[in-house]
Amino acid sequence: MKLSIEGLVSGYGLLDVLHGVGIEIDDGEVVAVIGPNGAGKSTLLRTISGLVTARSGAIRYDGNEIGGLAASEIPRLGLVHVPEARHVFGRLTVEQNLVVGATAAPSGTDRKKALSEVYELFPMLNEKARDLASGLSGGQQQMLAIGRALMARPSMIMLDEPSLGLAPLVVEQMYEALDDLRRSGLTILLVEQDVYMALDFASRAYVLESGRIALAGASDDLRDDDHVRRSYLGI
Amino acid sequence: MSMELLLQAAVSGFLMGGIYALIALALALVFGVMGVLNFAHGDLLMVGMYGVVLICAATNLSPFIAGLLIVPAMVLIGWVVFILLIRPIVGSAPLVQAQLTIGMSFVIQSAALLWFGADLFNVRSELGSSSIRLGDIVISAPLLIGCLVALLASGLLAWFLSATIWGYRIRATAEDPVMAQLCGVPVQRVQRWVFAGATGSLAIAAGCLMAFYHVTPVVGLQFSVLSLLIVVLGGLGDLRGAMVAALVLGVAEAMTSAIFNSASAPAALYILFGAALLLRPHGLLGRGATV
Ligand SMILES: Nc1ncnc2c1ncn2[C@@H]1O[C@H](COP(=O)(O)OP(=O)(O)O)[C@@H](O)[C@H]1O
Ligand SMILES: [Mg+2]
Repeated sequence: MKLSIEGLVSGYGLLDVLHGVGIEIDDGEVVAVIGPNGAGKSTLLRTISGLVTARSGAIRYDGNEIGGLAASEIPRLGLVHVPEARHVFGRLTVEQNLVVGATAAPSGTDRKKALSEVYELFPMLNEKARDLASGLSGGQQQMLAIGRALMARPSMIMLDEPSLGLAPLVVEQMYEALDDLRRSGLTILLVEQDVYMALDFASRAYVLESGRIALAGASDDLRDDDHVRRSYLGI
Repeated sequence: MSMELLLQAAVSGFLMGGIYALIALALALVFGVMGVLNFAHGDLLMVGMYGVVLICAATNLSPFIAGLLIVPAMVLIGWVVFILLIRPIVGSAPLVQAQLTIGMSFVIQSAALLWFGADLFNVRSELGSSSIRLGDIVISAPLLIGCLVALLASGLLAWFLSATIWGYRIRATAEDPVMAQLCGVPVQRVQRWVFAGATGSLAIAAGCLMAFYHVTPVVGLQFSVLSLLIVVLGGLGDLRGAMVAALVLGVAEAMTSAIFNSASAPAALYILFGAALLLRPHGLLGRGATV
């Protein structure tokens, strides 16, 4: 088991957003979380990565409880979060963004090698290495955000709506790169608006509604499920 | 008003502006990285200036060397001040931050008054009042060297921020601290070191100033006000803008003193400041945050 979450309660201020969420992800698995806007998908990822403190429940990564760790410690364990809206450092160059991403890499990591692997996956980043990240298009910024996460040499990556606001062709390109990562054995937890895309890419999925897991199963089964078809696929 | 006198004022003002640049850079860095406008910035500088006085009195060293020598002590002071006073107000409302740092300013002033009295201290530097003559213009040697040392220190700081990995991490923290954390950057540790380092760099500025200037317990206020002006004028969070604004303000201050009198300089600075904000609300270079 790569990641196992039980009875997770978390939220902001007086408000609970997640009311006892449980999910499990095996090593090398690709799992999606889908659900309507405001269901708590981003809150789930933020709680796992330590930006929001869990109120109760367990978050075990590689068998160890990571609930109390600081947000800057968790990527050092190989669990990296690519947040919604990309958050590239606009005043830094593309390459400087990637170098900052390597902060969480295990000590002794060959940064040059990590860089060249990211450039191989996204050749566009190599061409724009010296440009300010603020000048990149939305799709390029998303690839930079993913490349920056890979610089930490993670074994698991959490992606929050990576296709949001991108042109279909760019989304396709990005998923080709994600497919390479999947085949290299990276564990992926994917939050997506685009339910077709998510169910195509992931082997299993959870449906999160109002802070609770409403449904879970293999992508193929969910695609045929009446509730999913009506609520998310518009069939 | 003769042309020479104006040119003389412009040159001296520019040199003074070089020292202002270093002082303001430290303030801008602290504001950029932790979002705190430190109203006690000039008072920390004043502590450094007394430190230089003490070292020079005890050893007869040049104030520039004395400034270098007290860098570690100032870093330590910055470290302690950050942990006790600044860390608790990172992310607080601006009014809370202002109240706390203004209070800190008063406490430092009172402590200096108790310790050193209200007398004016200066340092007898080996450069004394020697000067260099360029045509009709006389350049004070300590001011010239002070400016060069301050610009060198500012350049080093700029190089560190723009060309080293920790510099990238500091800039990333300034831009988006949450994302920096997700990249594994220990944001609190970065803030602590930046505050300590900025306070340390004030030691260098103190050394430069004491080569030709004096220190009293209230000297900090004028430098706090001036560097706040510079940081806002340069565009909040824009370090290069702050450098330019420091030089502009240095020249403007000296020219107003020359044309009218030194008492009118602060008023003129504020008029210039108001005009600049109206015309360029994002700072002189147009790249900072909106005020
Ligand atoms: N920083 C925040 N402070 C307070 N409430 C928040 C914050 N972020 C999200 N929320 C609330 O938490 C709920 C879940 O939000 P979110 O996790 O972003 O949902 P999703 O990603 O599924 O769209 C929403 O009702 C939202 O308004
Ligand atoms: Mg979301």
